[in-house]
Amino acid sequence: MYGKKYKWIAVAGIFAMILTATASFAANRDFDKAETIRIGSLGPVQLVPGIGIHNAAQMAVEEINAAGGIHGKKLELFIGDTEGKPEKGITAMKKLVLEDKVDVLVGCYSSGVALALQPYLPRYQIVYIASGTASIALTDNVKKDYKKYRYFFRDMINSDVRQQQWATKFLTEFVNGKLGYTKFAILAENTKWVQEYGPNLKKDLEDAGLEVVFYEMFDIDIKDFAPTFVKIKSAGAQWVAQIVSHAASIPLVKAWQDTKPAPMGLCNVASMDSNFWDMTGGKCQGEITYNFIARAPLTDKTIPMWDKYVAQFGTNPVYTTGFTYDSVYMLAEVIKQKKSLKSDDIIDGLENISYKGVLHPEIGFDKESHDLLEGRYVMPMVQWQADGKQVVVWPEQFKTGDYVPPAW
Amino acid sequence: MTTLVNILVLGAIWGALYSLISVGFTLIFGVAGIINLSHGAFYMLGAYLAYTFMTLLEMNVPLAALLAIGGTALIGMLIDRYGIRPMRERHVYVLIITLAFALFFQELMYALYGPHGKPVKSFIVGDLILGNVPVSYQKVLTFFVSGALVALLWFFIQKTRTGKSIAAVAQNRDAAIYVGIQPERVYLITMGISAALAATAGVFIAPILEAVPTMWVFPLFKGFAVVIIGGLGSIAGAIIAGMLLGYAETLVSVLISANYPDMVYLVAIILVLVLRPRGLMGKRAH
Repeated sequence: MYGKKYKWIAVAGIFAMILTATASFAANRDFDKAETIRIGSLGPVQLVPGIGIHNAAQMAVEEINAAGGIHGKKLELFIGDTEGKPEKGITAMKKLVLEDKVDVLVGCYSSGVALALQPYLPRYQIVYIASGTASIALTDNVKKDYKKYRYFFRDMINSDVRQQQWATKFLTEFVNGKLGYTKFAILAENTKWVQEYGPNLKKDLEDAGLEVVFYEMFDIDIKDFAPTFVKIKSAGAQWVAQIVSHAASIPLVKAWQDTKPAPMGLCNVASMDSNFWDMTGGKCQGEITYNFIARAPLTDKTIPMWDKYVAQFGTNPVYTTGFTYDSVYMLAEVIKQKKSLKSDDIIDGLENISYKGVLHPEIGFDKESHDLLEGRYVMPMVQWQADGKQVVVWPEQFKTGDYVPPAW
Repeated sequence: MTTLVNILVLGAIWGALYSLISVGFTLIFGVAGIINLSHGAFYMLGAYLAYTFMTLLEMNVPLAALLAIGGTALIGMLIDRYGIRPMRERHVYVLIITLAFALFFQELMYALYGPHGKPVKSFIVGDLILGNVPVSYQKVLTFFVSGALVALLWFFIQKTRTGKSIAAVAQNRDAAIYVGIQPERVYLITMGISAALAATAGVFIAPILEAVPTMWVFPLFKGFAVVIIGGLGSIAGAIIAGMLLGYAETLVSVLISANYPDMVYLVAIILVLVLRPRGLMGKRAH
């Protein structure tokens, strides 16, 4: 009786191993035998950053195909809806890899989702450029265990060092240096990508001799921010540095405008979206957020891409758009160079690439961490001004208008 | 001084809103003996209907608000008539069906409007300056409307024939039947009033916050907290507990952190259940 049972267990085990082995070879196809090149795009289809990812991937794929594809082979795009949740992200990724049999992956919004996906990359031996996730933990994993995590690349500016450094630069050079403010409030959401960013930004400002009179990491479920802004006002803050991505941005901005504590500017992901003006009934007027893309000459490709995107999708690109667009192009470039869909060939190609995209003329990756190379990025600071105009107010070389303080 | 004025103002606004949400919740419990888990959904429907009529259809504010509140009241009455009445005596069934309605409306809003917050413009633009503190007219209006409606409900229950019927059924259903009152009709009206009050809160809060599909959960929790603290079925208790909760949460948010106001109602529920299980104004169980 036991012998029979064990026999079935053995058969099931072998079957599972065959399935796993088959699955792991979904990527790494023979380039010459592939009829099309399959690109998987991961992102929440109903959230603005996810829509920005899928639209950008679609646009890049269409352009590459219009230009003849890769050695005559067309690109095919497959969409995976992560819903911004780790468990849904894993399901979406499995569907792309196992059912749609994509060759490479791009996209993803939310570091928590990307962290959940990362362990599956070595299992499926598939290259993935994450183009909407900021947590340093992702590229730290590559650095710590290169052999396992080498499939992961990040085309996005990490939060813990680079966004924080840029934020410090903006607050010290522009807000303090140009506007003369010395007392700051840091209002940061309590999520994975801000866990180091928030405290380190506070330290940076204090090290620069500035005063942080209010500092709070708030729960993303909070809906009424009026008491928080009352506290900020009472603390005598002259500038509110907000770090918001997953929290309720609309109530936050409305409460800011109603309470009128001090000018506010640093990072609000929802505010990067051109629809934010309508979503807040214009109450975002005066708010500043850095964006990773703006209708400014970041490279000579930026404005043409921006205008085409607006014409095609009827909305402005968001922060994930430029990264995803460039990522698809970089993958296409590497596959073309190598004439290969093998992961190790693609990894080698990406590690040595210097690509002129819409965000920077020389995008490249660190060979140890697969993070963006230092200095290969810009983050224009964009202010909402009268009639819903988004104006780049800093840095000087990309300015499209002057900073306007809130009317109150 | 500025902080004190802010605490007084914000506490009053949230307290009035909690009272408005909770009186409907406690009313339907006191009269029909049911715990209506779709009560938060009425608040959400009020906000979404306000968005639909004001933002999408660009109707004028009073008409849009009336349609949103009236529409939600009608939905509440339909739920009572066709969802609750057939199994009214089976409390577990009522809990499940009302929760199912709440989840259904949540999914419906996702399907119709997506997961993003939807904006509703302020009914009146501008600020009232109170002791150097700007308070938006929308908040001032929300406070006065909430207060007025709670007072109106009180008057309605005490002074009108229908209100007295509601009070009679709440006190003794069998005795009410003997004097010719039809309980099912009273339940239907009470559900309509309860839904209208929650919808009013949703209509007036939408311009301050936003309309999102998950917004029904928060008023349900707050409603539960307020009626437990105030005493199940007690309108006066709901008003007092609503105001207390509004002020307590604002105090904690302003003086400690905006991360902790939810602790206030949880601690208050535990304290009330341990020290005074019938709540501030509830009747002692026989």
